Amino acid sequence: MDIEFPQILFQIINFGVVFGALTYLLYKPVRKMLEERSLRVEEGQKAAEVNIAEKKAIDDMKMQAKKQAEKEAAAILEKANQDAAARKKQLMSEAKKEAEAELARMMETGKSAEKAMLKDMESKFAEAVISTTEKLIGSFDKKASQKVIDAELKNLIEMI
Amino acid sequence: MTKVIVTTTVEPTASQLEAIKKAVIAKYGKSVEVESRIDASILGGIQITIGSRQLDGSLKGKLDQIRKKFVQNS
Repeated sequence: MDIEFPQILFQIINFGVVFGALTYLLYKPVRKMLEERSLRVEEGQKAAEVNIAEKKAIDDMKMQAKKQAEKEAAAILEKANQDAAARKKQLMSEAKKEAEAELARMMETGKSAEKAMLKDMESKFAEAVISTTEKLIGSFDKKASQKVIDAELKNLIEMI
Repeated sequence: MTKVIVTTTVEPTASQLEAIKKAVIAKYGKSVEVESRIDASILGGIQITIGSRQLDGSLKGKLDQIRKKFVQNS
């Protein structure tokens, strides 16, 4: 078997041509495409990282806002409870005062009514006594009348 | 002359009228005319009116005073 150098040379040239063609037409575009893809992936990763960071920041802000809102809500609730307690105390105090005033008024009314009744009874009693006295005086005889005149005359003469 | 009206429920005695006359003369120093009136409505005692001045020693007057006090206190 002889070595055919032209054939070998042809094969080398043929391989070189195919290699060059493949390098130029296939390898470079594929490599470029892969690089671009890699770049896109890298950008995508960066964007994803940025998004994740932003999402984390937003979540943190949300959490902070939630905590702040909860804190404010607790403060508002506490203040509302305090206000309600103060209002309750005030209303209780006012109601107590009103009740005491009403009780005092009722007692005063009762006392007044009792006083008026007593005065009325006294007046009626006095009227009865006077009426009876008038009847008794009406039955005085002349001698008794003269005694009364003498007694009163002593006083009147001093007043003249 | 001072006019004195003496009101009683029964006829006053002469000594009573005399005592009144003396007291009025001692006070006013004038001659006195005493008129006696009987009025059962004064219930008892005596009322003496000297001019426009009236001295009330009647039982009716005393009872009226008691009535007034009760009315004022009511």
